[in-house]
Amino acid sequence: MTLTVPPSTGPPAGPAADPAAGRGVTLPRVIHSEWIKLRSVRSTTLALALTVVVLIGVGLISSATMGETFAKGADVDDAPFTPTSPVGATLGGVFFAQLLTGALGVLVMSVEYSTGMIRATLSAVPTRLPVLWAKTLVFGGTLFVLTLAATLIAFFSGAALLESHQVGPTLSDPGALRAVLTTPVYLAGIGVLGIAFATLLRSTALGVSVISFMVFLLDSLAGLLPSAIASDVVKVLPASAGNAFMSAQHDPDLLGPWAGLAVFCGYLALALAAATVVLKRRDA
Amino acid sequence: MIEVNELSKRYGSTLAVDSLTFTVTPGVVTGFLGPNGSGKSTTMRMLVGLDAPTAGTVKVGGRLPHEHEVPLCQVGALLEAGAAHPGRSAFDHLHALAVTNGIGRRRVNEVLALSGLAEVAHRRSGGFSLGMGQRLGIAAALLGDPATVVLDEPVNGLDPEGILWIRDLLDRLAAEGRTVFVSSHLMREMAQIAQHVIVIGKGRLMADLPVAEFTGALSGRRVTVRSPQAAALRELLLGPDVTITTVSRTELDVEGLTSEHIGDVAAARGIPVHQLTTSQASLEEAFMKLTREAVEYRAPEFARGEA
Repeated sequence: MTLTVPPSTGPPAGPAADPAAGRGVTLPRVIHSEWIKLRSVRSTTLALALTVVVLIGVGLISSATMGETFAKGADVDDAPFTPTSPVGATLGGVFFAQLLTGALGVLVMSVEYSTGMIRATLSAVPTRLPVLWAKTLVFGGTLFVLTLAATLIAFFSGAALLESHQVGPTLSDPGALRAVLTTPVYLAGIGVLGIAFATLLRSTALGVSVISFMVFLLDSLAGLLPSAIASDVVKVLPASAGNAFMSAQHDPDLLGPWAGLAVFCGYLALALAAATVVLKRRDA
Repeated sequence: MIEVNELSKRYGSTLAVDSLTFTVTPGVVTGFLGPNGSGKSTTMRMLVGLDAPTAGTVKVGGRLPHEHEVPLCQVGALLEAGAAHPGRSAFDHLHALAVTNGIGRRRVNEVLALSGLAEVAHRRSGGFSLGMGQRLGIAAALLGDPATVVLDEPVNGLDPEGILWIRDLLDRLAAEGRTVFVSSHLMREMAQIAQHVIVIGKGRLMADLPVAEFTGALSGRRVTVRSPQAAALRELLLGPDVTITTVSRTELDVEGLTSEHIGDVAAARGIPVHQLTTSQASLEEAFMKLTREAVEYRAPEFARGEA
Protein backbone atom coordinates (compact mmCIF):
# COMPACT_ATOMS: atom_id res chain seq x y z
CA MET A 1 0.00 0.00 0.00
CA THR A 2 1.32 3.41 -0.86
CA LEU A 3 1.54 6.20 1.63
CA THR A 4 -1.54 8.19 0.80
CA VAL A 5 -4.10 5.63 -0.30
CA PRO A 6 -7.39 7.16 0.78
CA PRO A 7 -9.98 4.76 2.14
CA SER A 8 -12.18 3.67 -0.74
CA THR A 9 -15.46 4.97 0.63
CA GLY A 10 -14.13 7.92 2.58
CA PRO A 11 -13.65 8.26 6.32
CA PRO A 12 -16.51 7.91 8.76
CA ALA A 13 -18.14 11.33 8.91
CA GLY A 14 -14.89 12.82 7.71
CA PRO A 15 -13.60 14.68 4.69
CA ALA A 16 -13.38 12.55 1.57
CA ALA A 17 -10.16 14.21 0.43
CA ASP A 18 -6.71 12.81 1.12
CA PRO A 19 -6.43 13.16 4.88
CA ALA A 20 -2.69 13.82 4.77
CA ALA A 21 -2.88 16.82 2.43
CA GLY A 22 -1.36 19.95 3.95
CA ARG A 23 -0.68 18.16 7.18
CA GLY A 24 2.43 17.08 9.01
CA VAL A 25 4.37 17.60 12.21
CA THR A 26 6.12 20.96 12.52
CA LEU A 27 7.62 22.67 15.56
CA PRO A 28 5.09 25.54 15.50
CA ARG A 29 2.28 22.97 15.49
CA VAL A 30 3.74 21.11 18.43
CA ILE A 31 4.18 24.46 20.20
CA HIS A 32 0.49 25.16 19.60
CA SER A 33 -0.31 21.75 21.05
CA GLU A 34 1.72 22.40 24.19
CA TRP A 35 0.07 25.79 24.57
CA ILE A 36 -3.35 24.09 24.49
CA LYS A 37 -2.14 21.62 27.11
CA LEU A 38 -0.76 24.36 29.36
CA ARG A 39 -3.85 26.53 29.37
CA SER A 40 -6.42 23.74 29.50
CA VAL A 41 -5.68 22.40 32.98
CA ARG A 42 -7.01 24.59 35.76
CA SER A 43 -4.46 23.53 38.39
CA THR A 44 -1.60 24.66 36.13
CA THR A 45 -3.21 28.04 35.54
CA LEU A 46 -3.81 28.46 39.27
CA ALA A 47 -0.23 27.54 40.13
CA LEU A 48 1.04 30.08 37.59
CA ALA A 49 -1.20 32.73 39.16
CA LEU A 50 0.08 31.73 42.60
CA THR A 51 3.65 32.23 41.40
CA VAL A 52 2.80 35.79 40.40
CA VAL A 53 1.04 36.43 43.71
CA VAL A 54 3.97 35.07 45.72
CA LEU A 55 6.50 37.06 43.75
CA ILE A 56 4.62 40.32 44.30
CA GLY A 57 3.29 39.57 47.79
CA VAL A 58 6.57 38.50 49.38
CA GLY A 59 8.33 41.45 47.70
CA LEU A 60 5.80 43.84 49.22
CA ILE A 61 6.07 42.28 52.67
CA SER A 62 9.86 42.35 52.76
CA SER A 63 9.89 45.89 51.35
CA ALA A 64 7.46 46.99 54.04
CA THR A 65 9.41 45.38 56.87
CA MET A 66 12.96 46.10 55.76
CA GLY A 67 12.58 49.81 55.04
CA GLU A 68 13.39 50.88 58.58
CA THR A 69 16.43 48.61 58.85
CA PHE A 70 17.89 49.92 55.60
CA ALA A 71 17.14 53.53 56.63
CA LYS A 72 19.14 53.07 59.86
CA GLY A 73 22.01 51.67 57.80
CA ALA A 74 22.15 48.83 60.32
CA ASP A 75 23.95 45.65 59.37
CA VAL A 76 21.39 43.21 58.13
CA ASP A 77 21.22 39.65 59.29
CA ASP A 78 22.95 37.12 57.12
CA ALA A 79 20.06 34.69 57.45
CA PRO A 80 19.02 33.10 54.17
CA PHE A 81 15.56 34.68 53.95
CA THR A 82 16.72 38.21 54.72
CA PRO A 83 17.32 40.59 51.82
CA THR A 84 20.56 42.52 52.06
CA SER A 85 19.62 45.49 49.89
CA PRO A 86 16.52 47.49 48.94
CA VAL A 87 16.52 45.93 45.47
CA GLY A 88 16.83 42.53 47.10
CA ALA A 89 13.90 43.35 49.35
CA THR A 90 11.57 44.16 46.44
CA LEU A 91 12.58 40.89 44.74
CA GLY A 92 12.38 38.85 47.95
CA GLY A 93 9.68 36.63 46.45
CA VAL A 94 12.16 34.86 44.16
CA PHE A 95 13.28 32.59 46.95
CA PHE A 96 9.80 31.11 47.25
CA ALA A 97 8.66 31.51 43.64
CA GLN A 98 11.53 29.34 42.40
CA LEU A 99 10.05 26.36 44.20
CA LEU A 100 6.73 26.93 42.44
CA THR A 101 8.22 27.35 38.97
CA GLY A 102 10.53 24.37 39.49
CA ALA A 103 7.72 22.11 40.71
CA LEU A 104 5.42 23.27 37.91
CA GLY A 105 8.13 22.56 35.35
CA VAL A 106 8.45 19.04 36.73
CA LEU A 107 4.67 18.57 36.56
CA VAL A 108 4.36 19.82 32.98
CA MET A 109 6.39 16.80 31.90
CA SER A 110 5.87 14.22 34.66
CA VAL A 111 2.08 14.35 34.33
CA GLU A 112 2.50 13.06 30.76
CA TYR A 113 4.09 9.95 32.24
CA SER A 114 1.78 9.56 35.24
CA THR A 115 -1.38 9.80 33.12
CA GLY A 116 -0.07 7.75 30.19
CA MET A 117 -0.63 10.75 27.92
CA ILE A 118 3.01 10.51 26.83
CA ARG A 119 2.12 7.49 24.65
CA ALA A 120 -0.50 9.46 22.76
CA THR A 121 1.82 12.48 22.56
CA LEU A 122 4.77 10.51 21.20
CA SER A 123 2.60 8.46 18.83
CA ALA A 124 1.49 11.75 17.29
CA VAL A 125 5.08 13.05 17.21
CA PRO A 126 7.28 9.96 16.74
CA THR A 127 10.40 12.07 16.25
CA ARG A 128 9.89 13.03 19.92
CA LEU A 129 12.33 15.92 20.29
CA PRO A 130 9.87 18.58 19.07
CA VAL A 131 7.79 17.72 22.15
CA LEU A 132 10.66 18.59 24.49
CA TRP A 133 11.52 21.78 22.61
CA ALA A 134 7.88 22.85 22.49
CA LYS A 135 7.34 22.23 26.19
CA THR A 136 10.53 24.16 26.99
CA LEU A 137 9.61 27.10 24.78
CA VAL A 138 5.96 27.29 25.78
CA PHE A 139 6.44 26.83 29.50
CA GLY A 140 9.72 28.76 29.71
CA GLY A 141 8.25 31.57 27.62
CA THR A 142 5.06 31.73 29.65
CA LEU A 143 7.02 31.78 32.89
CA PHE A 144 9.33 34.50 31.58
CA VAL A 145 6.49 36.78 30.53
CA LEU A 146 4.48 36.26 33.73
CA THR A 147 7.39 36.59 36.12
CA LEU A 148 8.77 39.60 34.24
CA ALA A 149 5.46 41.37 34.76
CA ALA A 150 5.35 40.27 38.40
CA THR A 151 8.96 41.31 38.98
CA LEU A 152 8.33 44.78 37.55
CA ILE A 153 5.22 45.18 39.69
CA ALA A 154 7.09 43.92 42.78
CA PHE A 155 10.02 46.23 42.11
CA PHE A 156 8.03 49.42 41.59
CA SER A 157 5.50 48.86 44.34
CA GLY A 158 8.23 47.69 46.74
CA ALA A 159 10.29 50.73 45.83
CA ALA A 160 7.33 52.95 46.67
CA LEU A 161 7.06 51.33 50.11
CA LEU A 162 10.80 51.67 50.74
CA GLU A 163 10.70 55.30 49.61
CA SER A 164 8.69 56.11 52.72
CA HIS A 165 12.00 55.51 54.50
CA GLN A 166 13.91 57.34 51.74
CA VAL A 167 15.62 54.10 50.62
CA GLY A 168 13.47 53.34 47.57
CA PRO A 169 15.57 51.97 44.69
CA THR A 170 15.18 53.03 41.06
CA LEU A 171 16.01 51.12 37.88
CA SER A 172 18.98 53.44 37.33
CA ASP A 173 20.63 52.30 40.56
CA PRO A 174 23.72 50.18 39.93
CA GLY A 175 22.70 46.63 39.10
CA ALA A 176 18.98 47.26 39.64
CA LEU A 177 17.95 46.91 36.00
CA ARG A 178 20.03 43.75 35.65
CA ALA A 179 18.45 42.25 38.76
CA VAL A 180 14.94 43.02 37.56
CA LEU A 181 15.52 41.61 34.07
CA THR A 182 17.42 38.48 35.09
CA THR A 183 15.02 37.44 37.86
CA PRO A 184 12.47 36.16 35.31
CA VAL A 185 15.32 34.47 33.43
CA TYR A 186 16.24 32.60 36.60
CA LEU A 187 12.65 31.64 37.44
CA ALA A 188 11.91 30.46 33.90
CA GLY A 189 15.27 28.65 33.88
CA ILE A 190 14.39 26.76 37.06
CA GLY A 191 11.08 25.79 35.41
CA VAL A 192 12.95 24.46 32.38
CA LEU A 193 15.29 22.53 34.69
CA GLY A 194 12.12 20.99 36.14
CA ILE A 195 11.04 19.85 32.66
CA ALA A 196 14.47 18.35 32.03
CA PHE A 197 14.58 16.56 35.40
CA ALA A 198 11.08 15.18 34.90
CA THR A 199 12.05 13.90 31.46
CA LEU A 200 15.01 12.11 33.01
CA LEU A 201 13.16 10.81 36.09
CA ARG A 202 9.57 10.38 34.79
CA SER A 203 8.26 10.91 38.32
CA THR A 204 6.59 13.91 39.89
CA ALA A 205 7.72 13.07 43.42
CA LEU A 206 11.33 12.46 42.41
CA GLY A 207 11.47 15.48 40.15
CA VAL A 208 10.07 17.89 42.74
CA SER A 209 12.39 16.45 45.40
CA VAL A 210 15.44 16.86 43.22
CA ILE A 211 14.62 20.41 42.19
CA SER A 212 13.82 21.51 45.75
CA PHE A 213 17.00 19.89 46.97
CA MET A 214 18.93 21.71 44.28
CA VAL A 215 17.61 25.19 45.02
CA PHE A 216 17.27 24.97 48.80
CA LEU A 217 19.74 22.47 50.22
CA LEU A 218 22.58 21.85 47.81
CA ASP A 219 24.45 25.01 48.78
CA SER A 220 24.27 24.20 52.51
CA LEU A 221 25.41 20.67 51.82
CA ALA A 222 28.39 21.91 49.79
CA GLY A 223 29.22 24.17 52.74
CA LEU A 224 30.10 21.01 54.68
CA LEU A 225 33.03 20.34 52.34
CA PRO A 226 36.54 21.16 53.60
CA SER A 227 36.68 24.95 53.85
CA ALA A 228 39.49 25.16 51.31
CA ILE A 229 37.21 24.10 48.49
CA ALA A 230 33.74 24.72 49.93
CA SER A 231 33.43 28.33 48.79
CA ASP A 232 34.67 27.53 45.29
CA VAL A 233 32.16 24.69 44.96
CA VAL A 234 29.24 26.69 46.37
CA LYS A 235 29.92 29.50 43.90
CA VAL A 236 29.23 27.36 40.86
CA LEU A 237 26.08 25.65 42.14
CA PRO A 238 22.87 26.63 40.31
CA ALA A 239 21.23 28.61 43.11
CA SER A 240 24.41 30.56 43.91
CA ALA A 241 25.01 31.23 40.24
CA GLY A 242 21.46 32.59 40.12
CA ASN A 243 22.08 34.81 43.14
CA ALA A 244 25.21 36.11 41.48
CA PHE A 245 23.28 37.66 38.61
CA MET A 246 20.08 38.53 40.47
CA SER A 247 21.82 40.53 43.23
CA ALA A 248 22.11 44.21 42.48
CA GLN A 249 25.25 44.48 44.60
CA HIS A 250 28.17 42.19 44.03
CA ASP A 251 28.73 39.71 46.81
CA PRO A 252 32.41 38.66 47.06
CA ASP A 253 31.31 35.13 47.98
CA LEU A 254 29.58 34.77 44.63
CA LEU A 255 30.67 34.76 40.99
CA GLY A 256 30.40 37.96 39.00
CA PRO A 257 26.92 38.52 37.56
CA TRP A 258 27.74 37.56 33.97
CA ALA A 259 29.88 34.61 35.00
CA GLY A 260 26.96 33.50 37.17
CA LEU A 261 24.55 33.80 34.25
CA ALA A 262 26.90 31.80 32.06
CA VAL A 263 27.20 29.04 34.66
CA PHE A 264 23.42 28.95 35.11
CA CYS A 265 22.83 28.69 31.37
CA GLY A 266 25.46 25.94 31.30
CA TYR A 267 23.36 23.90 33.73
CA LEU A 268 20.29 24.45 31.58
CA ALA A 269 22.11 23.33 28.45
CA LEU A 270 23.50 20.28 30.21
CA ALA A 271 20.14 19.23 31.66
CA LEU A 272 18.34 19.71 28.34
CA ALA A 273 21.04 17.82 26.47
CA ALA A 274 20.69 14.88 28.87
CA ALA A 275 16.88 15.02 28.55
CA THR A 276 17.19 15.04 24.76
CA VAL A 277 19.34 11.94 24.66
CA VAL A 278 17.17 10.04 27.12
CA LEU A 279 13.85 11.02 25.51
CA LYS A 280 15.11 10.01 22.09
CA ARG A 281 16.50 6.66 23.13
CA ARG A 282 14.30 5.37 25.91
CA ASP A 283 11.19 3.26 25.37
CA ALA A 284 8.16 5.33 26.26
CA MET B 1 -0.93 -2.83 5.85
CA ILE B 2 1.22 -3.83 8.81
CA GLU B 3 4.37 -5.83 8.16
CA VAL B 4 6.10 -7.36 11.16
CA ASN B 5 9.37 -9.02 10.27
CA GLU B 6 11.49 -11.11 12.66
CA LEU B 7 10.51 -8.74 15.44
CA SER B 8 12.05 -9.25 18.87
CA LYS B 9 12.04 -7.23 22.05
CA ARG B 10 14.09 -8.00 25.12
CA TYR B 11 13.61 -6.36 28.52
CA GLY B 12 16.57 -7.34 30.65
CA SER B 13 16.49 -11.12 30.76
CA THR B 14 12.91 -11.40 29.48
CA LEU B 15 12.30 -11.93 25.80
CA ALA B 16 8.88 -10.26 25.54
CA VAL B 17 8.59 -10.66 21.78
CA ASP B 18 10.43 -13.48 20.06
CA SER B 19 11.06 -13.36 16.29
CA LEU B 20 7.51 -12.48 15.34
CA THR B 21 6.70 -12.37 11.65
CA PHE B 22 3.23 -11.65 10.32
CA THR B 23 1.33 -9.34 8.01
CA VAL B 24 -1.95 -7.59 8.73
CA THR B 25 -3.85 -6.83 5.54
CA PRO B 26 -6.37 -4.08 4.91
CA GLY B 27 -10.07 -4.74 4.49
CA VAL B 28 -10.70 -7.13 7.36
CA VAL B 29 -10.63 -6.81 11.13
CA THR B 30 -7.63 -8.73 12.40
CA GLY B 31 -7.60 -9.86 16.00
CA PHE B 32 -4.42 -10.14 18.03
CA LEU B 33 -4.87 -12.77 20.71
CA GLY B 34 -2.74 -13.86 23.57
CA PRO B 35 -2.88 -14.20 27.33
CA ASN B 36 -1.87 -11.26 29.47
CA GLY B 37 1.88 -10.86 29.30
CA SER B 38 2.23 -12.61 25.95
CA GLY B 39 3.72 -9.58 24.21
CA LYS B 40 0.67 -8.06 22.50
CA SER B 41 1.04 -4.59 23.99
CA THR B 42 4.79 -4.59 23.46
CA THR B 43 4.28 -5.45 19.78
CA MET B 44 1.70 -2.69 19.43
CA ARG B 45 3.97 -0.16 21.14
CA MET B 46 6.68 -1.01 18.63
CA LEU B 47 4.15 -0.49 15.83
CA VAL B 48 3.88 3.18 16.68
CA GLY B 49 7.51 3.62 17.65
CA LEU B 50 7.08 3.95 21.40
CA ASP B 51 9.38 0.99 22.04
CA ALA B 52 12.39 0.27 19.86
CA PRO B 53 12.74 -3.32 18.62
CA THR B 54 15.73 -5.27 19.90
CA ALA B 55 15.81 -6.93 16.47
CA GLY B 56 13.67 -7.00 13.36
CA THR B 57 11.41 -4.37 11.88
CA VAL B 58 7.82 -3.32 11.94
CA LYS B 59 6.41 -1.24 9.12
CA VAL B 60 3.04 0.40 8.71
CA GLY B 61 2.14 1.38 5.15
CA GLY B 62 5.66 0.45 4.14
CA ARG B 63 7.34 2.83 6.56
CA LEU B 64 9.10 2.62 9.90
CA PRO B 65 7.30 4.45 12.74
CA HIS B 66 9.46 7.58 12.78
CA GLU B 67 9.31 7.92 8.98
CA HIS B 68 5.65 8.97 8.81
CA GLU B 69 5.23 12.54 7.65
CA VAL B 70 1.74 12.75 9.09
CA PRO B 71 1.84 10.08 11.80
CA LEU B 72 -1.79 10.41 12.90
CA CYS B 73 -3.01 9.92 9.31
CA GLN B 74 -0.87 6.82 8.82
CA VAL B 75 -1.54 4.96 12.04
CA GLY B 76 -4.06 5.78 14.74
CA ALA B 77 -3.50 3.92 17.98
CA LEU B 78 -5.25 3.29 21.26
CA LEU B 79 -2.59 1.91 23.56
CA GLU B 80 -3.89 2.61 27.01
CA ALA B 81 -7.36 3.42 28.25
CA GLY B 82 -7.81 6.79 29.87
CA ALA B 83 -4.38 8.02 28.85
CA ALA B 84 -5.49 11.61 29.26
CA HIS B 85 -4.90 14.28 31.88
CA PRO B 86 -7.90 13.98 34.21
CA GLY B 87 -8.10 17.74 34.55
CA ARG B 88 -8.36 18.38 30.82
CA SER B 89 -11.58 18.25 28.80
CA ALA B 90 -12.08 15.65 26.10
CA PHE B 91 -12.09 18.39 23.47
CA ASP B 92 -8.85 19.99 24.66
CA HIS B 93 -7.19 16.58 24.94
CA LEU B 94 -8.05 15.69 21.35
CA HIS B 95 -7.37 19.19 20.09
CA ALA B 96 -3.86 19.19 21.60
CA LEU B 97 -3.09 15.88 19.88
CA ALA B 98 -4.67 16.93 16.59
CA VAL B 99 -2.82 20.21 16.10
CA THR B 100 0.60 18.51 16.26
CA ASN B 101 -0.23 16.96 12.87
CA GLY B 102 -2.01 20.01 11.51
CA ILE B 103 -5.49 18.59 12.10
CA GLY B 104 -8.14 21.18 12.95
CA ARG B 105 -11.07 21.62 15.33
CA ARG B 106 -13.59 20.40 12.77
CA ARG B 107 -12.11 16.91 12.76
CA VAL B 108 -11.91 16.97 16.58
CA ASN B 109 -15.64 17.61 16.73
CA GLU B 110 -16.23 14.87 14.16
CA VAL B 111 -14.43 12.19 16.15
CA LEU B 112 -16.16 13.36 19.34
CA ALA B 113 -19.52 12.83 17.62
CA LEU B 114 -18.36 9.56 16.10
CA SER B 115 -17.38 8.17 19.49
CA GLY B 116 -20.51 9.38 21.22
CA LEU B 117 -18.72 11.93 23.39
CA ALA B 118 -20.10 15.14 21.83
CA GLU B 119 -22.24 15.94 24.86
CA VAL B 120 -19.41 15.56 27.36
CA ALA B 121 -16.75 17.12 25.12
CA HIS B 122 -16.13 20.01 27.46
CA ARG B 123 -16.18 18.06 30.69
CA ARG B 124 -12.98 17.08 32.46
CA SER B 125 -12.03 13.55 31.40
CA GLY B 126 -11.22 12.68 35.03
CA GLY B 127 -14.94 12.24 35.60
CA PHE B 128 -15.34 9.79 32.74
CA SER B 129 -16.31 6.16 33.25
CA LEU B 130 -13.96 3.44 32.04
CA GLY B 131 -16.11 3.04 28.92
CA MET B 132 -16.05 6.76 28.16
CA GLY B 133 -12.28 6.72 28.65
CA GLN B 134 -12.09 3.95 26.05
CA ARG B 135 -14.23 5.96 23.66
CA LEU B 136 -11.94 8.95 24.17
CA GLY B 137 -8.93 6.78 23.36
CA ILE B 138 -10.64 5.47 20.24
CA ALA B 139 -11.58 9.03 19.23
CA ALA B 140 -7.89 9.94 19.52
CA ALA B 141 -6.93 6.97 17.36
CA LEU B 142 -9.31 8.13 14.62
CA LEU B 143 -8.21 11.81 14.65
CA GLY B 144 -6.04 11.53 11.57
CA ASP B 145 -8.59 9.44 9.66
CA PRO B 146 -5.80 6.85 9.53
CA ALA B 147 -5.21 4.13 6.96
CA THR B 148 -4.22 1.79 9.81
CA VAL B 149 -6.01 1.56 13.14
CA VAL B 150 -4.33 -0.21 16.07
CA LEU B 151 -6.37 -0.75 19.22
CA ASP B 152 -5.01 -2.44 22.35
CA GLU B 153 -7.83 -4.08 24.32
CA PRO B 154 -10.51 -1.65 23.10
CA VAL B 155 -13.34 -3.75 24.50
CA ASN B 156 -12.12 -3.46 28.10
CA GLY B 157 -14.57 -1.56 30.23
CA LEU B 158 -17.22 -1.21 27.55
CA ASP B 159 -20.81 -2.14 28.30
CA PRO B 160 -22.73 -4.41 25.87
CA GLU B 161 -23.93 -1.37 23.94
CA GLY B 162 -20.35 -0.14 23.72
CA ILE B 163 -19.15 -3.51 22.45
CA LEU B 164 -21.83 -3.45 19.77
CA TRP B 165 -20.76 0.07 18.86
CA ILE B 166 -17.11 -0.86 18.52
CA ARG B 167 -17.94 -3.95 16.48
CA ASP B 168 -19.90 -1.84 14.00
CA LEU B 169 -17.20 0.81 13.97
CA LEU B 170 -14.42 -1.71 13.27
CA ASP B 171 -16.48 -3.40 10.55
CA ARG B 172 -17.05 -0.05 8.90
CA LEU B 173 -13.36 0.93 9.14
CA ALA B 174 -12.34 -2.38 7.58
CA ALA B 175 -15.00 -2.11 4.88
CA GLU B 176 -13.54 1.27 3.96
CA GLY B 177 -10.31 -0.51 3.11
CA ARG B 178 -8.38 0.30 6.24
CA THR B 179 -6.10 -2.02 8.15
CA VAL B 180 -7.70 -2.76 11.52
CA PHE B 181 -5.64 -4.55 14.18
CA VAL B 182 -7.27 -5.18 17.53
CA SER B 183 -5.82 -6.99 20.52
CA SER B 184 -7.69 -8.79 23.26
CA HIS B 185 -7.37 -11.55 25.76
CA LEU B 186 -11.16 -11.89 25.84
CA MET B 187 -11.88 -14.57 23.29
CA ARG B 188 -15.64 -14.30 23.13
CA GLU B 189 -15.64 -10.62 22.15
CA MET B 190 -12.81 -11.21 19.74
CA ALA B 191 -14.75 -13.99 18.00
CA GLN B 192 -17.53 -11.48 17.42
CA ILE B 193 -15.27 -8.71 16.21
CA ALA B 194 -12.48 -10.22 14.11
CA GLN B 195 -12.50 -12.13 10.84
CA HIS B 196 -8.84 -13.04 10.98
CA VAL B 197 -6.73 -13.82 13.98
CA ILE B 198 -3.09 -13.75 14.94
CA VAL B 199 -2.35 -15.68 18.12
CA ILE B 200 0.79 -15.28 20.20
CA GLY B 201 1.99 -16.84 23.40
CA LYS B 202 5.19 -15.98 25.26
CA GLY B 203 6.05 -13.56 22.46
CA ARG B 204 5.98 -16.25 19.76
CA LEU B 205 3.59 -16.62 16.85
CA MET B 206 1.22 -19.55 17.43
CA ALA B 207 -1.38 -19.11 14.73
CA ASP B 208 -2.23 -16.77 11.86
CA LEU B 209 -5.51 -17.75 10.17
CA PRO B 210 -9.19 -16.90 9.71
CA VAL B 211 -11.22 -17.06 12.91
CA ALA B 212 -13.48 -19.81 11.54
CA GLU B 213 -10.49 -21.98 10.75
CA PHE B 214 -8.96 -21.20 14.10
CA THR B 215 -11.93 -22.62 16.00
CA GLY B 216 -12.36 -25.46 13.53
CA ALA B 217 -8.77 -26.63 13.32
CA LEU B 218 -7.89 -26.40 16.94
CA SER B 219 -11.03 -27.44 18.70
CA GLY B 220 -11.35 -31.08 19.58
CA ARG B 221 -14.95 -32.11 19.83
CA ARG B 222 -15.95 -32.44 23.40
CA VAL B 223 -18.70 -34.61 24.73
CA THR B 224 -20.46 -34.00 28.00
CA VAL B 225 -21.84 -37.17 29.65
CA ARG B 226 -24.16 -37.30 32.66
CA SER B 227 -24.55 -40.66 34.31
CA PRO B 228 -25.21 -41.90 37.87
CA GLN B 229 -22.28 -44.27 37.34
CA ALA B 230 -19.90 -41.71 35.95
CA ALA B 231 -16.86 -43.17 37.72
CA ALA B 232 -17.41 -46.61 36.23
CA LEU B 233 -17.99 -45.17 32.77
CA ARG B 234 -14.81 -43.17 33.07
CA GLU B 235 -12.76 -46.33 33.63
CA LEU B 236 -14.27 -47.86 30.48
CA LEU B 237 -13.62 -44.85 28.29
CA LEU B 238 -10.03 -44.15 29.31
CA GLY B 239 -7.45 -44.80 26.64
CA PRO B 240 -4.70 -43.22 24.58
CA ASP B 241 -5.54 -39.74 23.23
CA VAL B 242 -8.62 -39.57 25.42
CA THR B 243 -8.92 -36.80 28.00
CA ILE B 244 -11.62 -37.09 30.62
CA THR B 245 -12.43 -34.37 33.08
CA THR B 246 -14.60 -35.31 36.04
CA VAL B 247 -16.90 -32.33 36.39
CA SER B 248 -18.90 -33.78 39.26
CA ARG B 249 -19.87 -37.16 40.68
CA THR B 250 -22.33 -37.61 37.80
CA GLU B 251 -20.78 -35.62 34.98
CA LEU B 252 -17.78 -36.13 32.70
CA ASP B 253 -16.26 -34.08 29.91
CA VAL B 254 -14.72 -36.36 27.33
CA GLU B 255 -12.36 -35.28 24.60
CA GLY B 256 -11.07 -37.62 21.91
CA LEU B 257 -14.14 -39.87 21.55
CA THR B 258 -17.35 -39.48 19.60
CA SER B 259 -20.74 -39.40 21.31
CA GLU B 260 -21.70 -42.55 19.36
CA HIS B 261 -18.74 -44.47 20.78
CA ILE B 262 -19.48 -43.33 24.32
CA GLY B 263 -23.16 -44.26 24.01
CA ASP B 264 -22.31 -47.69 22.62
CA VAL B 265 -19.83 -48.42 25.42
CA ALA B 266 -22.36 -47.38 28.06
CA ALA B 267 -25.14 -49.45 26.48
CA ALA B 268 -22.91 -52.55 26.19
CA ARG B 269 -22.20 -52.45 29.93
CA GLY B 270 -25.70 -51.41 30.96
CA ILE B 271 -24.62 -48.08 32.38
CA PRO B 272 -27.50 -45.61 32.37
CA VAL B 273 -26.79 -42.36 30.54
CA HIS B 274 -28.91 -39.29 31.38
CA GLN B 275 -27.31 -36.87 29.00
CA LEU B 276 -24.93 -37.08 26.05
CA THR B 277 -24.10 -33.72 24.49
CA THR B 278 -21.57 -32.78 21.84
CA SER B 279 -20.24 -29.25 22.00
CA GLN B 280 -18.13 -27.40 19.47
CA ALA B 281 -15.25 -25.86 21.35
CA SER B 282 -15.52 -22.12 21.58
CA LEU B 283 -12.78 -19.81 20.41
CA GLU B 284 -11.93 -19.40 24.05
CA GLU B 285 -11.29 -23.10 24.53
CA ALA B 286 -9.37 -23.40 21.28
CA PHE B 287 -7.27 -20.50 22.37
CA MET B 288 -6.65 -21.94 25.80
CA LYS B 289 -5.62 -25.24 24.34
CA LEU B 290 -3.21 -23.50 22.03
CA THR B 291 -1.64 -21.30 24.65
CA ARG B 292 -1.83 -23.60 27.67
CA GLU B 293 1.87 -24.26 27.63
CA ALA B 294 2.59 -20.63 26.85
CA VAL B 295 0.84 -19.19 29.88
CA GLU B 296 3.39 -18.11 32.39
CA TYR B 297 1.19 -17.89 35.45
CA ARG B 298 -1.65 -20.33 35.24
CA ALA B 299 -4.35 -20.48 37.84
CA PRO B 300 -5.02 -24.06 39.07
CA GLU B 301 -8.57 -24.13 37.64
CA PHE B 302 -7.57 -22.34 34.47
CA ALA B 303 -8.31 -25.01 31.89
CA ARG B 304 -12.06 -25.23 32.48
CA GLY B 305 -13.75 -23.53 29.54
CA GLU B 306 -17.48 -23.04 29.24
CA ALA B 307 -19.55 -25.48 27.17
